[in-house]
Amino acid sequence: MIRLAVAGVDDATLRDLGRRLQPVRLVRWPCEEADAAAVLGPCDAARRDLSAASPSLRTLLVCGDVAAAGLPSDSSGGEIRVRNLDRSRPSRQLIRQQLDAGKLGTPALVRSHRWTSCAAVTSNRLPSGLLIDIDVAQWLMGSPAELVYAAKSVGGEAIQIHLGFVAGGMALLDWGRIPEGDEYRSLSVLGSSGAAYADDHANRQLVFGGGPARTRVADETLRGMANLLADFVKELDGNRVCEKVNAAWHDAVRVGGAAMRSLKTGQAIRREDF
Amino acid sequence: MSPTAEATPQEAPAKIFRCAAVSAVKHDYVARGMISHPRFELVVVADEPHIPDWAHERNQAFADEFKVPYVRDVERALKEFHVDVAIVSPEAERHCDLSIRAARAGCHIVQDKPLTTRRSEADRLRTEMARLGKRFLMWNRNGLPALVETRRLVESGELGALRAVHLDFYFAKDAGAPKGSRQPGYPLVNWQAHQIAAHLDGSDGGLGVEPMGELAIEGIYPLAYLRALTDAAVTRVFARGAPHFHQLNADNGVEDLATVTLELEGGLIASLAIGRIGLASHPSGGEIKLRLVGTKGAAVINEARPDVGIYYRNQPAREPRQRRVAVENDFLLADDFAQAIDSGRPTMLDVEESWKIFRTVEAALESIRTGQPVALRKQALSESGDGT
Repeated sequence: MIRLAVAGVDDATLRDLGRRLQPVRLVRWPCEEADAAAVLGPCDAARRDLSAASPSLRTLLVCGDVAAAGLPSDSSGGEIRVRNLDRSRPSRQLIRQQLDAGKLGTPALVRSHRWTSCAAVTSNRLPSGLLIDIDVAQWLMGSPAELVYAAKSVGGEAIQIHLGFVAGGMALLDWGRIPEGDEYRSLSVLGSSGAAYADDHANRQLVFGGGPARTRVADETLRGMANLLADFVKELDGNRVCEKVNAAWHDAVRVGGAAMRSLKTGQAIRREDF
Repeated sequence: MSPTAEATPQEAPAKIFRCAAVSAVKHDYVARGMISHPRFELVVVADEPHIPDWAHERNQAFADEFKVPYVRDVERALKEFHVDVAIVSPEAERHCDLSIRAARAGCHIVQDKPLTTRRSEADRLRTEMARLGKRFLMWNRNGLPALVETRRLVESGELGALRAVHLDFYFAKDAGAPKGSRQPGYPLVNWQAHQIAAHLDGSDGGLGVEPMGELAIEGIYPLAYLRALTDAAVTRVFARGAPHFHQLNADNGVEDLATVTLELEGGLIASLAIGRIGLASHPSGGEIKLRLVGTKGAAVINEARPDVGIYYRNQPAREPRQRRVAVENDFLLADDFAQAIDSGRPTMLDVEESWKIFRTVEAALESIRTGQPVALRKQALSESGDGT
């Protein structure tokens, strides 16, 4: 039985995940006896300890938003696999399934919005959410971006990345900073014969408690984490090589780098110049 | 009808404006929308004598419906019927010329979109309207309830200073057969013939000889939203576009889907995704949304709200499931126009703003061709030519 050490989630989430993944045993990172580990969210301790991970730890799963801050150079000889948690979200998986089934036709446009309370962009690094969205866009389009253009608002409170794909495909990815509180996500995919819309706007419930109504959205993050870990366990069981997925993440990082260059130069960057 | 409306106890009698439909061959909803307002009265339909028979037939049918004459001479009709307002909706190539001629005849102008198909015509219209001092209104959707509310929200300061505006404007309509459906050896789909046939369901926004992509035809609507929310001018544009859905667009080399990155004065950014994406892609006409990010907050707005869901057995496929309600766009546009004439102030979408939107679209189309951003420099009225 696989023993999986998990970092970057709170105890309640770990228990919820454990119930969904039985008979796999989930334990909190760090754990000397773990066969593999998964870093599912920001976790400074995990980042510090990655290079000193147990020699018995043969595989380490790192979510994209964690990896965006930089992968450790040494994991004691273990293999690091980077995964994008967003690909495991039920809404994103459903859209991908519809594309794979041919129901939406050839993908023409991926349009995403991600608003968070993270700090405004001032450094040379894109928000990790945008790298995640670049990866999702390329995954849904089924090909790497050929052209990148980026624009940023004054104060760095909003960034948008405009991608061009072969055969006229395109993506527009928006990142915005909003006051602390709920985040907002929206993803739509237009294909040549159909479209899919996954928008928090449409998935909100109304709550009344005096004064203006509030809204709540059902979060799909837990189900996404469970999907991600279940796939990871299958990979471990089957000793599957996953270089392609790692390569996809590294390509998203390259596209992100091109977006930063576009911000600096004001020019669109072609893939040959990434 | 009496030349003046019934006066309220508080107000002086308001002038009733005599209107001519100066060609009603494309969207007669513009004329219908204007004359639904109590201060506008249709007195004549006019067009040029040399237009084809199908165009004369449409004009005649519209005139017959409203029991007014159809005159095949624009200048004579405007003069003999003492027309105050020309409502211009011919093929896109004739928009500016008819508007200019009507303004020279002393009329204020309400014009259908797009502004024109040519930069020289846009410049000529801009110059002439400025010289003649007549009011000009480009037909738009800024009077829809969601837009009125969005504007109030921005003006209230609740969102702080705007930093980003994101616009989705999809018409889930077909434009003939899907892309890839033409068999080898069959002729290309003819643009004008398709547009003439599309009049039946009102999807003939691109009526004219010259093929136009969705950005050129419909881009005025979402870009007018942007104009309503900020005075900042667009300084730089990057765009992508291609025909993805319809054989008509593929055969004529014009996009049916486009995405645009806009950079504006003051560090504001915006994006636009626009397309005629096919009937199957949305159950109620298409997703149209505005997303605003400000320094104090953000908002997601559905342009189609408020609406009512209507579903029933054997419902036609083309009938929207979500039906808009409380829509006063026609009234608000016409009311704004009347007030603009009364006061001499600009309309909610006047010729100068329409010209700027045309230039933005023109820059986006250039960016699609070149794959690089295009800068938009400010251009004084004197640089637009003498209007001749």
